[in-house]
Amino acid sequence: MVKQQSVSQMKARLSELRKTNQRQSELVLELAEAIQSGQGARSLAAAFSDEAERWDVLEQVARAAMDCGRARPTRGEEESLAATLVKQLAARFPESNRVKLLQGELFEAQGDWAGATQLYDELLTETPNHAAATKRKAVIFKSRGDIPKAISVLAAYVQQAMADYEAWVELSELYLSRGDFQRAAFCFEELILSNPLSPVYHIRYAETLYTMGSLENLQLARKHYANACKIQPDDARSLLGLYMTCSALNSEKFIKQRTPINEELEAFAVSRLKQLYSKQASAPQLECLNETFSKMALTTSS
Amino acid sequence: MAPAAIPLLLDTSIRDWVLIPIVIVMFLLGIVRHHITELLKSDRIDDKAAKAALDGQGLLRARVLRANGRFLSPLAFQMRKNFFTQADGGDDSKKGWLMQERPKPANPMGDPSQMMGMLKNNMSFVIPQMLIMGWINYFFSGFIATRVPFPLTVRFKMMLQRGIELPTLDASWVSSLSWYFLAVFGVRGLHTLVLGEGNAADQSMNMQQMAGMGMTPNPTVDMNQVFKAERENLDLCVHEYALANIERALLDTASVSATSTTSKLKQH
Repeated sequence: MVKQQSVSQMKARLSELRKTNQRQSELVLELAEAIQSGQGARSLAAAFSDEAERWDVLEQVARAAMDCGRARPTRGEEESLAATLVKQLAARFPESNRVKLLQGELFEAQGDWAGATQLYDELLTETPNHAAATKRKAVIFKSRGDIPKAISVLAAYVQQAMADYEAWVELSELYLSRGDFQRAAFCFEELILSNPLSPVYHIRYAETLYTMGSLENLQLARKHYANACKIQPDDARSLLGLYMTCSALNSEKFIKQRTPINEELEAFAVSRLKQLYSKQASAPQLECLNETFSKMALTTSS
Repeated sequence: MAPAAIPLLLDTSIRDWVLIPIVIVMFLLGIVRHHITELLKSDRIDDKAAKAALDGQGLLRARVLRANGRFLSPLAFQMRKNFFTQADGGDDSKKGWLMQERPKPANPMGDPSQMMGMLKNNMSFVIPQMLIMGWINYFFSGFIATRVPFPLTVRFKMMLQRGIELPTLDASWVSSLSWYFLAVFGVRGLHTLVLGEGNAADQSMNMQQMAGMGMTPNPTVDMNQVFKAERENLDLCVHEYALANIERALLDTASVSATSTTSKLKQH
């Protein structure tokens, strides 16, 4: 596919990928190699005559190379592709924070945690509140399995940069992995605020609340599942969640707080789910589904 | 007798030693100035700017809460509102985020380091400007450098014949000093061509900057005022729970769509 395009087309594609911030690393590498060989250039940098474009491309390809396992030397290379590119960038911009960050990512990709941490610490002393360096540090802790440390770094970070929703997503995942549902729920609330029309955050919030499982949490989970169902009517995940929550609320435990609307909702969720699956599933699968529903109804009501 | 009819001849060495050198000098000066500004430019994000960015993030979160808070339960909303606007608690850490005192923006004229930065910037413009003006005045004042190839009205004398007070001279003749001014603005296009868009060689840009001294947008805004406004907005914001009757609404839309599909079936 790449082979048939002209060099200028491939350059345009590369620049489009860069500007839309897509992380299609394999494609980027493939394009970069094709451009280099297409122009018969000795290095990637030589293939780009435009000074401004050249360095952006080097950064882009270096990141892609790290993603594709080219951070360490392979196939008889003396030096890995990513390392070569980063070195060129560092030679051109010796003082640049952006290159330092890239260098740190290279260390990470090579598994040199200590080197990366040291570099990020340097960056942070030079420019306090350097967002990317802080986040990379949290990610290093995460990669090394030190989740509590990662959480403490990120939690301190979102207290400062309160509208960095990417960080809130990551923090919610980390809390969930530790089983800290209360705090994860807080993160999801924040994410719902950021984008209330996205069903995803409503579903994940409701799931967290359902897992916590008191009466108030279940009622709130039901609301958010219902909202997700309303935004995205044919979504099996939210319908199943709605069904599970309603049947939990119908159980003996909450017999005093039973409301008619709950049973109505449960019936609605079941019928919609069956309707949804009847379009796609085969007959034995449907039978299995019906069986599961009746079994679940038994376990929750007993 | 029309005075304009008298033919005037200019020495060719005026062209070679005045006209063209002025243009070349102006062009080279622009390039040198561009590179000097690049060198002097400090692209470090200082601590204050970083803090201001963080304040902006907090403000954004407060605004988002105001806009989308209705999707959260009353408890969760109240908790966040308290975080921003809580009044009690003597020490600063317990106060709401929007209640905390921010440092007042320093007067840019009073801050020596900022003054220095502005001076550095302006020096690279003003000093060569003065030198060139002196050079022109010293060597070339008071004679005609060229003429424009079309007739002009007397009004243009002010513009084109600076430094020459000859009422009888035709307006299409250009004096050397005026040629200098024309060159100042004329080489701008050439600079854009050579140095790219938004280069530092552009003089008119600099003149605009000098007019609105210290126009750096952010640091002069008093964050305390912005925070106060946001605090009041948040205080006025009444929480209307959007999900209060969501279950009913879901069932209603479902039954509506169900009836509409059955009625469609009947029609067929």
